[in-house]
Amino acid sequence: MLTRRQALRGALLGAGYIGLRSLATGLPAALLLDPRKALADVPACGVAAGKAQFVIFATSGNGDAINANVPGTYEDSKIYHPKDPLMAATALSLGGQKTTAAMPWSKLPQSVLDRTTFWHLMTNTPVHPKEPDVLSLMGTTSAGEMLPSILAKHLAPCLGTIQSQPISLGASSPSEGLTFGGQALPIIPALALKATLTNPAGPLTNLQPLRDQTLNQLYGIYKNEANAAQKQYIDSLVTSQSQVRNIKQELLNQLTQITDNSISSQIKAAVALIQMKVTPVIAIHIPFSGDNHRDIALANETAETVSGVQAIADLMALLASTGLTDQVSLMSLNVFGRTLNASNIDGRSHNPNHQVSFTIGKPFKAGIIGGVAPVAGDYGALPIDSKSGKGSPSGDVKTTDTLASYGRTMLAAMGVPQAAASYEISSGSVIASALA
Amino acid sequence: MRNRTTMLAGTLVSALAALAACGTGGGSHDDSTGQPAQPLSAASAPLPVETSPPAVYVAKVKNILVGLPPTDEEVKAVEADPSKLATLIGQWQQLPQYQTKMIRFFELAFQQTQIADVDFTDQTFPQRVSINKQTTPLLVQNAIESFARTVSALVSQGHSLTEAMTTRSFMMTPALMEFYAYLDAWQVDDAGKVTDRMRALYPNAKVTITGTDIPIADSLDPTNANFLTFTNPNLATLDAAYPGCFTDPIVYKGGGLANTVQRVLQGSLDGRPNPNGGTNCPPIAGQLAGPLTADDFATWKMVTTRAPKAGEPITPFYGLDKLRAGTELVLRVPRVGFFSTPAFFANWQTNTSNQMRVTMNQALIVGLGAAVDGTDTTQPTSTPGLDATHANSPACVSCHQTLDPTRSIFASQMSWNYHNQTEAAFSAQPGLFSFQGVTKPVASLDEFGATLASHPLFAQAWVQKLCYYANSRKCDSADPEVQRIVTAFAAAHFDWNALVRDLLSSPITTSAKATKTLADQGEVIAVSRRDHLCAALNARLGFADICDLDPTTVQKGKSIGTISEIVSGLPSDGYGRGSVAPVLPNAPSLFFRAGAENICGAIADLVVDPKNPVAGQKQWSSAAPGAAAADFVQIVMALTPSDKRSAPSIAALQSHFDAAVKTGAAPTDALKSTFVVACLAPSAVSIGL
Repeated sequence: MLTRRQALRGALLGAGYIGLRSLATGLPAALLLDPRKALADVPACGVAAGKAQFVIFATSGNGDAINANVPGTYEDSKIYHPKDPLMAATALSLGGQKTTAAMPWSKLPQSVLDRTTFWHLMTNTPVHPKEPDVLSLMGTTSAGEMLPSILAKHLAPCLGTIQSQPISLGASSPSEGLTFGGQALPIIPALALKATLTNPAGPLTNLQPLRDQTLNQLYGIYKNEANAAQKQYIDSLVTSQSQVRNIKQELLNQLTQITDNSISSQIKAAVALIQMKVTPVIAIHIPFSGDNHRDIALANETAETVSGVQAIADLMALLASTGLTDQVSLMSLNVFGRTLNASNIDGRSHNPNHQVSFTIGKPFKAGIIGGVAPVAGDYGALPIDSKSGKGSPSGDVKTTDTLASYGRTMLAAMGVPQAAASYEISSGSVIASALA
Repeated sequence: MRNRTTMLAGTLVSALAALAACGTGGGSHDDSTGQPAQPLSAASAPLPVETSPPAVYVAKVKNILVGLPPTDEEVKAVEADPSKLATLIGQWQQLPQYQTKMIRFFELAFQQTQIADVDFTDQTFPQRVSINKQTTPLLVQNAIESFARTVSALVSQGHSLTEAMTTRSFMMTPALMEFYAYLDAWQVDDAGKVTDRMRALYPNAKVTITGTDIPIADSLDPTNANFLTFTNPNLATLDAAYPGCFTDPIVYKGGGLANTVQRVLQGSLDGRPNPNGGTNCPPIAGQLAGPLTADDFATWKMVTTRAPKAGEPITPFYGLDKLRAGTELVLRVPRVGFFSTPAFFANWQTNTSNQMRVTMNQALIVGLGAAVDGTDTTQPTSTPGLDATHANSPACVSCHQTLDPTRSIFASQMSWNYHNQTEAAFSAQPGLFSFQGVTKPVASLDEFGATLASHPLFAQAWVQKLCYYANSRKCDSADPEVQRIVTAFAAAHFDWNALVRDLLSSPITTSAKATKTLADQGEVIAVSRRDHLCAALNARLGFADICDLDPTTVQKGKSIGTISEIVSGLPSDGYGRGSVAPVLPNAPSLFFRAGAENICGAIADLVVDPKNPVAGQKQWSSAAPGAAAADFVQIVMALTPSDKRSAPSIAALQSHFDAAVKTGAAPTDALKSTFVVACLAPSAVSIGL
């Protein structure tokens, strides 16, 4: 055990008098030692070698109708799908597994389909405001941390990102915003991101290093008169300044193509952030119908399924063109899915029993996890056999555990050790058959 | 800034914090054993309760209230007598910036924000409210501001805050009056069926657009031969661009009469079938000035709404002259309190499944600071409107037995598109208010407003909302000081300005003395979130709207460059559906830091050696860098000359200027850089330093 004497000696005199320099400048000592390392909240990478991936996390608090038109929903003829020819039932192959889905899904490149997994889950809520709870896997995560934040915390030190916190680019309301360690994170639309990170060329930018020096002086002046809470806060200002300076300026031109806050721009921004190694997890919002209670002939569901799948295709193409295909995984999780029975002709209601997530990436074995069956006048997710991944009434993963199991499997896919995953998510099982 | 008594402890904690960060190369292991190190007792012990001195909390309170920096006299007055803070607050409440800040607070607290024109489409179903890109943002902004201006006017006249629940009078512009009246003429029922009351009044009327000069008064006069014949001087130009589509005259015969007229008033032309065949003629949005002028979106007055007497017609939305001159609207749709404004409805749209539950739940959250969440033990005496499916589900009934009877209050009055309820199954079923200890039949929105106003949770709810705004966190309701403030607010007949004085001069906000909240939760230092930051920049530097948050602001000094884009990503006060607490990102991030730097750089161009000086806007000359540095510290960093941090900060800024010049920078650029440093200083971008 470190004694108080050893501690004080180490702090003040060790490592090139870093402790004294820290006291003199008022800056956190770890920053003086190694600014980049000090910016990561987790001291070392605890993830299995080669497993860590950047994650693009699609989420919607609207409860979009992804679950209505994906593989696994075409075996039961009573499940209602849009009649538009654009949504015709179409055969496709997921890693060699023959299945059927709405036509847009079949248009994804086969190389993408061969890494695509559809997860039939139950979020167990029909209520929009539960979006944060669903992202926290309905009370099964440690301290209520959201799945994107758990992933970010574990992946950041392995990927060497500037910050550990995830970033939300696409949240359409504060309900879709993320938290990290109990702190609400800002929502940064794509256009704002571009305007925020782009340094206007000119003499002011040239004076940036000098300004940082003067600001460090000011931080010291403030800290001299600060109480503990104020000191802690000033330290976080210091950290944020160091983080900004760690952004690779030469990659900022990736943001110049952003002209709006559409999903297309979110995708460009997300990939740019990955290339700049800013954060391990980026949240986006891909519309797949919105909250379509009144949707005549499911026209909006049709249009947004077409555009939503196209957005996925565009993302995958961009990742391929930037050489990131094997380093980035796409995951989705919405607050709930929508009702599926034959009465859903001109709109769909909330479905607490069935939500479909998709994952696309190197760590995943393509296919369908779980399934759907009649429940309470509509349809709901089946229990899952954790070994085969198939939906079955006798599956060992109960429907109420499917959400946590999804989270556990995502952590496993990213190489988070089982003990750590068990700490982070208290229930559920790893669906091993979903992993490549 | 800390008190001397806490300095020693602070130094020790600081040193140990540095140790934890670096002492053993990460601080998490004992090198000798390889085992995780035990936390040091001193570092892991709770931090001592540390109070703040007047220099810090006077700056905090003044910033929150008006965005301005404190003066030396103000700080010294509070140092001599802390009770003087309440007096100062009273003086600051007389400044125009206080109204500005309170209007923004009320916009957020009454949940009239976070909306765009598309969110009104339920109410104007199936058409959008307007397609004119110039006037639509103005109308939306009018809708957002209206209720906040209403409350601001009411409380400044000495009315109780409870009137925000019951008022039938609202601050409106003529353009907003037109919109309210239009919504009354455009009835949409639960099934989405539209009844065009203007068409019912004028079954054979048609809208004609011509290049011939027709006085607008004639166009809007039902007794005139040119009624609904509008002049558009651009028809020839448009027709040249779209041959055949805009041949004079254009006549709109079919479709919704009220909707077509409403769009013309807003300065737009609907698309229509091409007389020459082929694809439809395009709608023309934003190229035309409409009969509604810029003044119609900027002239505010208190307008009373009331139901029509027997046989009395509703106010015609196209009677612009009367709208401009009048202060009354006769409407069938009941408009009462914050919960029936078009902005609130746009925010919390219901639907055929939800049937007003979201609207009611949000109204409870706003009015009483509590939501239906299944924990309320109030037992309703009856359950009108209880959904049969949910009634039979144990998991659902705890919420629905409360929510369904209460939402029936709305459902009995309004359709799912927020027009008159015409479906007998709902209109014949009055609601029952049953929430948090209060159960009573409620037959109208007026009664609902009165029920909120008299509810025991009202006082506490609004103290908490102000707590979140001022302190970036919830106040501990078990804190005796908080309870005292709640009791005093109720005893003062819910005098809002008195509450502001009380809470902002309380140690709950100042941390001048130990409180339970401070002891249990510590002090929250937060980034200056978007509204606070922009208000401070406006107030301190003389801008009208540097962040471009208000499209109706027409004065000079609006945003330049990308500031408006950056601020859309700054941490901001938000509220989520079903959430009692606002979303308050408090921590600095790299994005906040980078965004603030770019904002400060853009502002530096406006205030340092400006090429086109603007009256009322601060400006500094690079020929006098010393004076500028002193100003930057006092005005931008909000440190008074007697503050211990002031002199070294001025010296640091002066050194920065000198060093920049030495590197070869032009004096103007050197001073701009100096301004950016001040603008990024902790007390300039934070609340609580």
